[in-house]
Amino acid sequence: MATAEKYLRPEVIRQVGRLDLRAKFIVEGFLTGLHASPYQGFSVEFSEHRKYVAGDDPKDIDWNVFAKTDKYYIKKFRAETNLSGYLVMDLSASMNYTFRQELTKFEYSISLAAALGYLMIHQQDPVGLVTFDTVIRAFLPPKSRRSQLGTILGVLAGLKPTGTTDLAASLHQLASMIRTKSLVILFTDLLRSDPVKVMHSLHHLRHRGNEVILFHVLDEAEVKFPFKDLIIFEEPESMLKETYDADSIRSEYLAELQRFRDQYKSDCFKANIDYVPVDTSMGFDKALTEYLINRQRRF
Amino acid sequence: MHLAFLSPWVLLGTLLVAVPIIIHLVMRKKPKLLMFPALELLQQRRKTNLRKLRIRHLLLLLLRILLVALAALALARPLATNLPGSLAIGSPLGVVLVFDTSASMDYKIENKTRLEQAREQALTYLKSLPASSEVAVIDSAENSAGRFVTINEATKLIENRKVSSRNRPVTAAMEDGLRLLERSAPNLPILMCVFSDRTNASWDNSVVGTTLLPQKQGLEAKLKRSINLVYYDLGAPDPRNLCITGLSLRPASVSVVTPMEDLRFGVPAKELLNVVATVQSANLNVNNEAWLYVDGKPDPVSKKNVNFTGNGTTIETKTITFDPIEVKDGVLQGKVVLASPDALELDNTRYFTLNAPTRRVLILSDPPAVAEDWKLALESLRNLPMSCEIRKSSECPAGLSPDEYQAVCLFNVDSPGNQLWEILQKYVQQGGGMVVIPGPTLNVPAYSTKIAGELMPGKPIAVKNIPLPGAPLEVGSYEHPALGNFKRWQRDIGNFKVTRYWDLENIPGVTNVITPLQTETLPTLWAERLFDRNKVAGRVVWLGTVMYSLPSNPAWKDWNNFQNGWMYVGLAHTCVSHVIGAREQRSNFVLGDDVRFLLPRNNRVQEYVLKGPNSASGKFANAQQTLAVPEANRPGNYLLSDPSGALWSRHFSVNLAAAETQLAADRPKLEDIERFFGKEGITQAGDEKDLASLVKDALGLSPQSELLPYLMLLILLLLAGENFLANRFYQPEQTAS
Repeated sequence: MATAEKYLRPEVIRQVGRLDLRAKFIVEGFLTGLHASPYQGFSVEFSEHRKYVAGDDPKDIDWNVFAKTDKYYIKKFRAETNLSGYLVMDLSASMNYTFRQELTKFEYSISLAAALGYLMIHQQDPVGLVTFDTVIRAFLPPKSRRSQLGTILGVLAGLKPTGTTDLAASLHQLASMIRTKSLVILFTDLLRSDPVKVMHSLHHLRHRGNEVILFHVLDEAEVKFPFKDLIIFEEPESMLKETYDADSIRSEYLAELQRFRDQYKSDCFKANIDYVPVDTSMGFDKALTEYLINRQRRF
Repeated sequence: MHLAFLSPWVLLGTLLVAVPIIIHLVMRKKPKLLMFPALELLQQRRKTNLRKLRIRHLLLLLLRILLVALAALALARPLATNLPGSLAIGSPLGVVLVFDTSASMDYKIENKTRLEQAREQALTYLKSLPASSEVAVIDSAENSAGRFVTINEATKLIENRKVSSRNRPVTAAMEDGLRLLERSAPNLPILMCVFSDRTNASWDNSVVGTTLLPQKQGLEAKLKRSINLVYYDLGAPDPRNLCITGLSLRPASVSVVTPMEDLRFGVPAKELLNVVATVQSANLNVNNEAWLYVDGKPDPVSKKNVNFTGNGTTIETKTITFDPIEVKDGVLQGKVVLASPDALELDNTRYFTLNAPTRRVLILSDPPAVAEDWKLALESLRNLPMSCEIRKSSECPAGLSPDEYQAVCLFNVDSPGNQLWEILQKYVQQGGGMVVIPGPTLNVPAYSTKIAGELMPGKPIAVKNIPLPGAPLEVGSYEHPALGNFKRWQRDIGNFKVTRYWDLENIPGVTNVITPLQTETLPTLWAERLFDRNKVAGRVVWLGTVMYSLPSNPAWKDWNNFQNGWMYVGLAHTCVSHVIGAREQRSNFVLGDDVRFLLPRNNRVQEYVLKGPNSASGKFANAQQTLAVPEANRPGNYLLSDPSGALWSRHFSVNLAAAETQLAADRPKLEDIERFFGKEGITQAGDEKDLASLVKDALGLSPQSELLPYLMLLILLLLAGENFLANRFYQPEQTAS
């Protein structure tokens, strides 16, 4: 266990440099670290057996197999229904930002997406990828093949977020492109987007019967505002420059950020959308764990 | 609160406030450029933030300016008093320091003279004054009004103050000080500080109300600010002093004692004389000895004990009569010394000069025989020894000179011719004295000529008779100086009467009646001619009754009964001594007197030399008649002569005025001093206040505090604030990625 946690550290994952492994380690660590399996949370059926490991519910032990083999196996499940998942990545330039963390918001989002993708493929759910900036740039249809995760990560590794974004338009476009009810997992910083339009587009997705998880990814500097003194801030998309006294504006900024997040949180709650605020200073396994535990409680 | 500065010039340092402004504007660090995607969340607060930013910049600039200004202010060492408008200790002042340098300031307490004490106090006070103060030092011995100088120069002036025997009341020096302020008062708060020992001689109370107070009020009105006054009383509360207050002379054979200073006509030669010293003890109970020295001999010629047995708290005076001495060679100089020294030594010695000149009187008489009584009378006087010569009027020397004959008597000359009048006129103009005593057969026209009219005190008209028993002299109030002796003799003056006299027509502006006769018409008997003193130096006296008697002539009727008693000698002495007085001089002076001598007429002497405690020499100007000797300003015996000493010489002595060393007697009351100085500005004798605290009391100053520590504290706080703000602005990059 201790060794697994050690290797789940983001810096180790980064050293490994392979997103699939990264996701595997994270998710397996995540699974073995929990006493309750998260599988139920994704509403799947039993499909095969696997060895019992500590933390599994003993009620799932297949006593027939035990009688035959004298080993503990638990029943594995297979999907009850096919739930297609779309990992939707924001490619705006602002996503390529970090102030002092090792991962940019985009990299952090990829890590999250990889983990979730791994999870879904691991439970036989098809996963697709959508990237967008002002329009949708890439669209990988959901598949449940194990190679699908590699494909997705291969695409993501080749992307570099630049330029401006139009989140609302892209989501409208996506909503019209998804034909079956799917799980849309959106990774964005929600910056330079009109919240009303964004919420409208999210409503559009929801209206089409999709389930939406919104990972609001911000950099640690955007959340904590660690700046001091007089600073000229430059907005990476518009290249707009403005001078601020960081010390005096910190509290106001943090209040504004909180209001911004609260507004989305409130709106998402009303729209039955999971709003998950994260920042790049959080270990994303923990962030994911917390979210999934919360989700498990809700269902 | 009133602010003053110990170093006001440092305030120029406030100009350095420009430095932080320049630094602030030129060297302000540029802000870092950082990417920040969430800029939109900041933008709504941008205006407020920029305003805060500017305020903080201005605040920082203000702090820096304040820091520089406060540093300059602190270095200028401000002093604060909580009395608005009043003086501050340590604030620059215009100070007038008036020093009483009279002899009494030489009195020692704890081996320190009063003047040394004054100097010490003044110098200590000057050290506490800021350098920008202006100080004037005025010495009561000097007539110059002084001027305002820097503290350093004033320090030297104060260090050079010495006791001067020739002195003025300190009130006169205060007048000088006020005049100086009228002329050139500095634009500073004014303080006049007087150092004196509050003796009678130092304080002329009469000028306080008449001069000093109006002068001060006028000055305050002119300057539109008050003059602050302090009187530092250095006098001992109970001075103990033994002093010789005066010397007198008494011929051994008579009891009349004449003060040395009153000996206008010298002393008789070759006659035994007693020197009498007056010794005064103030608050002392002592035995002492007084020694008499003469002619510079090392040993005293006479020693006398002086014993004061009083209770030690009073002023006691005794006279000591020394063994008789004799003036053998025309002049004798000496001194009387108290053997044991005391706290004030200047008054333990007193000097004297005894001149025994032979005065020559020419009596012109026709015939000479009738003047014998007159000659006898003149030569009989001990205190005015005269050598008389009787000649006929026709034998009058043509070059009659006051150097040769000090007086001429025109005795019973009936008809003096013009030639004689001319000789006499020249003689009188040069300073000779003439007494006109008419005979019974005076030729009126000969005394009424023009030239006679230029000498005579009036015009003789005719002989008048007074019925027996005649009329005495009407001496009135003895106002005329010639009547000084008559005042002593007045008890029987009415016994001497005149029955005949020459009626003299008084001429206004010319005739000065010395005394008339006591009749209804008050006819003039004795008169003096009034001269223009710029043209005529001598005197002419008219005595209008015949001063001889011819008992051998049966037809003779006496004109008076003067020869029956002292009146004849008295009148002869008075008439001649009065006219000689024009050229007579004293030989004993007190400091403060105008020491002045008539110069010889023969023009052979062109230069003079003064020898004594002070020396001097010089030349006479043409037509100079008298020589003042201001150099004789220290007590002692002097000799004034031509360089060789053979042609002309005058011996004289100078002593302290007795009043100068009267420490305890008749001291001015504190109320008198308060009239000018107010109550607060005076020390009581014996107080041990220093001048600074006296000034503080006098000006009603509250204790002052130097603001430097508080300013430094403020500077430190501001510095901390500045650092805090500056660090927030210009913190080095440590968080930048």
